[in-house]
Amino acid sequence: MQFLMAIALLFAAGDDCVRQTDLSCPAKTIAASIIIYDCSASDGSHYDLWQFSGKAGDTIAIDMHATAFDSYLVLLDPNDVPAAENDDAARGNNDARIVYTLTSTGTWTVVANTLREGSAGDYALSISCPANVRRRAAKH
Amino acid sequence: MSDLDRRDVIVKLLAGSLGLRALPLLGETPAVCTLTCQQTLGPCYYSGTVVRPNITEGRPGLPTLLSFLVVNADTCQPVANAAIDIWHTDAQGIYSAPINTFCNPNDAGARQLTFCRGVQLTGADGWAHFNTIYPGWYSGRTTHIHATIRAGGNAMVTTQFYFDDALSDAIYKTHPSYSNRPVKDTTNLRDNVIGGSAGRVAPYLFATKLILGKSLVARKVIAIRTSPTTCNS
Repeated sequence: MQFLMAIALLFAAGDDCVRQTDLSCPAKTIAASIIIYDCSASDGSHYDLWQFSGKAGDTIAIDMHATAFDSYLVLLDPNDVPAAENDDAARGNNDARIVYTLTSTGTWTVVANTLREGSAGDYALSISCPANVRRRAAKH
Repeated sequence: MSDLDRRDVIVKLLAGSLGLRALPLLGETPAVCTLTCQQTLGPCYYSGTVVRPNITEGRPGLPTLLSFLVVNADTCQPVANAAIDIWHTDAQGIYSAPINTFCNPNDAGARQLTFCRGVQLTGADGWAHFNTIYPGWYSGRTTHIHATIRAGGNAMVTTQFYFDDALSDAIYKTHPSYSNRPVKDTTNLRDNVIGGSAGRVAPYLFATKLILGKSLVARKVIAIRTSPTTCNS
């Protein structure tokens, strides 16, 4: 019963998370940290939200790199519909990478998340748009 | 209580630090690539489905991104170009397509549509994704998604996947597309296909994350063999 209440609370409380606007096209790399007071998903993991403006048809690449935790990325469209997700940029790699062709013009949101609950620490987030999909974004 | 305090309480509740179980973690993958077993096709399959990532056809519901990783059960390597054919109900527990009327009783409109049905091919990394809505429920079954996986033109396995009951219960009680039918009448343990024990259900549960209280991502690993699967769940 308490668990059900917790999920119900998450439904009610979820949308007061701060959406940061530092991410921008055509390319940007930011350094940030996930802490335990960041927004939380239903699995108990924490995430930051980063917004950028994009145009329909543009292919963008988003890279997340961390050493303290396993990175996980979700891309939300301008209506907060989950459009893409990624755990490992490559097999055995704890970085995350999304390469995605935008389906609409507007403000998109990147969810920079830890794959597992209880994780926190520094990370680097990069965006390239339109993406050069043959070259990995720089790591930090 | 401040927003931060409230979040902390929610996280502690969800993380199980008060002695409660948590939803399956999204990062959980089997230590070995355990073969995905056969479950019944059911009466609501429709062969006229098409290859497309977005299967909603505008149907209302909780936006859900379903991601499947297909691996070889023997080598644990990803399987590219496997076709994943899925079908499930809309938020009201109704299937689409001109099929058995048991699947869409008293809904002639649904029989003219193909919502919540589609096929995707796995990429070189073995992953395939569907943009859909969270399925609703109908009497006698727990919340589920059907899938047939084909490789090399052969159907390797037909099976079903499930969600944690607590997640379904919260969605059905709070989301406006579901809340007119807030209590499903069958839990995973009582389901006539997969029920019986938690251990029987566990291999077929999606790992999920609900983000912002309104966007769901769900993942599942499917392990197949290069000949059609013969095990039963």
